Amino acid sequence: MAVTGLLVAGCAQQPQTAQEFREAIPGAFMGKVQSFEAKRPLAAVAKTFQARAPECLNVAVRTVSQSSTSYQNILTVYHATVVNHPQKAELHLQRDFKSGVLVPGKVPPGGLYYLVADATPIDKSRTRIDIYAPSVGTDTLVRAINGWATGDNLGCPDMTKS
Amino acid sequence: MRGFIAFVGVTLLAACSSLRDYPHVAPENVQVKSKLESGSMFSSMRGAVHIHELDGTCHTSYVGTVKLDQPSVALGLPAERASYLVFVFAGSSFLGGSSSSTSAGTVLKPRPGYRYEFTVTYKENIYNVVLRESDPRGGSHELPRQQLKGCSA
Repeated sequence: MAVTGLLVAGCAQQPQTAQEFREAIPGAFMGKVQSFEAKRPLAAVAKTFQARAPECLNVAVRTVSQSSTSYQNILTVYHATVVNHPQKAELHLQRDFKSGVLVPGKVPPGGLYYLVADATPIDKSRTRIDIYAPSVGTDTLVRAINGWATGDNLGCPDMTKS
Repeated sequence: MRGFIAFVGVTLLAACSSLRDYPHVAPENVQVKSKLESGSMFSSMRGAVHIHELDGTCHTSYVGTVKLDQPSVALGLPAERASYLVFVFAGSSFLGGSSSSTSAGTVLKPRPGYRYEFTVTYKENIYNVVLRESDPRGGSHELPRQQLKGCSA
């Protein structure tokens, strides 16, 4: 899974900002933009992002795998940021490989961008969510963000599955 | 320290020989209702809650563990003393022998005479820990999860 994010960036320079990540994902190998609609006003979606993202996503995950010929121990620290604007709410998720992964290129403060979710109003009672993320390994994360946006499920994604 | 730390691979809930049963504490003021689903017939999901005491400087001291092997279990936490509860979800696959666990912690300082109910779910890789406080007169409300980082025991 750790490789996925690196593949998104490919051999090019790593996106240094959320905006660079948004621009890189559509054309990236294993990159995907997913959109859906939440039947809640932007303010409610933003409030849920603000409440759930830090609690659920600011986590550290250690992955240990071992075979007869190899041993891998990766510590990944995730860092979530929610940015609220009058007409937009952004959720940025970065991951910082503390050990076990060599990352080519410059790593932005907070770690490599892994997912960006933008919430923008469709009208007073509906919100559009655009999620920029790798196409592999982010299914649970995307479902969780969908649940927060719609208000249907406020649970946290098991980040060991991301 | 981050809100929780998840370990994948060699860490197994049952393999931790240093775990011990949480002792009986009266009154049993905490109810834990759990529903854990692995989502696959080739894997299993088990839950437990590790209970730590918190001292005045928010240092933790492990007291014991309660397995969430029943839909509802009761336990007692000392009133007016902060405890740190860590809910652990441990999954294991019958194919390939892989395992993983993730956890969510919260600080709880029970008030005398109040009752607390945790509703703990894990389904399709999404988990939730919801805490409600009920006062002696029957009113209840949801309490936010309090991270150890913001502890003020």
